Amino acid sequence: MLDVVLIRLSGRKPLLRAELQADYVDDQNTLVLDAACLQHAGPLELAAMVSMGTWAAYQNRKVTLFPPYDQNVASYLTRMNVTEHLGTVAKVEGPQVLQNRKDRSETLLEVTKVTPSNADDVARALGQVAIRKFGMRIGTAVYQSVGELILNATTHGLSSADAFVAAQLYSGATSGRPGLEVAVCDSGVGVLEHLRTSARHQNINDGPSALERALERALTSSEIDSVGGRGNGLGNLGHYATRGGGGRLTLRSSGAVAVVELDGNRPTLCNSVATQLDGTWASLRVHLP
Amino acid sequence: MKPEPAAPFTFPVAKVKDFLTTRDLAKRTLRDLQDETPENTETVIIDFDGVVAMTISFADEFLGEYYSALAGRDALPAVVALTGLHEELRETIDICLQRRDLIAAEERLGAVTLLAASNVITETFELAQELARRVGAFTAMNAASQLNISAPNANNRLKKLVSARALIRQHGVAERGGKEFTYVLPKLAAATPHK
Repeated sequence: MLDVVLIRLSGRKPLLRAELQADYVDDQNTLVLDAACLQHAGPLELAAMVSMGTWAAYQNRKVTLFPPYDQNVASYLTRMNVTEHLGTVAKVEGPQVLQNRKDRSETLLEVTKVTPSNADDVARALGQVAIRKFGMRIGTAVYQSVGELILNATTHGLSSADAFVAAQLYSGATSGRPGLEVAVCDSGVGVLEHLRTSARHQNINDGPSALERALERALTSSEIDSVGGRGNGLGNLGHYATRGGGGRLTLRSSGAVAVVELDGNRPTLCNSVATQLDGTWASLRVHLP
Repeated sequence: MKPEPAAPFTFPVAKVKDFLTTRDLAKRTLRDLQDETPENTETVIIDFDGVVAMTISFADEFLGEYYSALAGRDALPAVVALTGLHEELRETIDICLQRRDLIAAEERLGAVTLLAASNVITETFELAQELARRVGAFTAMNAASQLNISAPNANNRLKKLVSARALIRQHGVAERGGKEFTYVLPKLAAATPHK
């Protein structure tokens, strides 16, 4: 497999698109994160950039970040700790934006490294944000979904470079759609390889089938297997829909992207994509009914 | 001389955390519950008061494992009840126990109900509460005749309630000799039958 050596992040929320702008060569020594033309970043861009950079550095690759030309976007990357995290593992090619920081823990979670030892605390912080925004009924369901994503990233998706989480509440002032967006990105083995360690899933050969299987909800004890527990986990995210909220989960892993509409009325779409990356990225966007 | 049974033991889950997420935390919580339960304790109350939210994975690793272990043996505790649950926690526990084909008793405002139980088991439990109120200890035959089902069928249903520690089974002697099981409701349930 060719290695991705350059990821271009341009325009608005580029990593939510199925196909990424990436260049490949048979060279494992470099990774360039080119955010120069980035116009709007969400939690997925933030957490994924840090995850990719950290994982590449762990593999002894030389990592370079081109920060956004747009000062507001550059400032947001600083505010959300992207520059701080990448500054330790990457060469930043451009001026660094300084920012006076205020405590915004009620509306956002800066990019945060999540490990098995702080997973409960990170999930708690996000649970509090969700309950404040959505109330107990939907807020606890959002917390449960985020908790399962974090749990997956720190168990099945565990790697030496850990996982990263970021979150942002949106007021809806520009989009008209207030909501909460959370991203969890790990650099582990990916869903396909993980599932195939179980005898039950060894017949799964491609990324889309793996994501489809991982997102199924276990209904009975016959679903018990030796790897995935009893099917709790990603499949539980659909539980959110039963509490009346709406939203979308985008999952990228093993060369595939799955899009799940949490209102339960539309089928899950799982497709192969050209860009193969290590690990699993999950982006959960929820809004009030 | 038979030792006095220990007083009911209450395990406050909120002392662990108010948001319960990971399986690792659930494993530690389960270990704490098992280690802290005094020997000879007849009644264990698992109190969720103060817990804000819990993932299904946590519930599975904590309560799913706990009730699975109880179902597999006859030893103490004879009674286990969940308390302090709000609607969202109840829903989460329901999902987790249903997936394992387990049930649990919940004590709320003095009444005891079942979580994750089928209609048939719920019906049997309500009858058990009624019988306990009327006659105290009862047999599978009593339940069978009230429910209009066979004795083995009643026995299977009662066994499930005993496994979940929602009903206490006692060894007794039948009227015409021989051994016979009788069933009594735990005090927390017998005091206020479910309506």
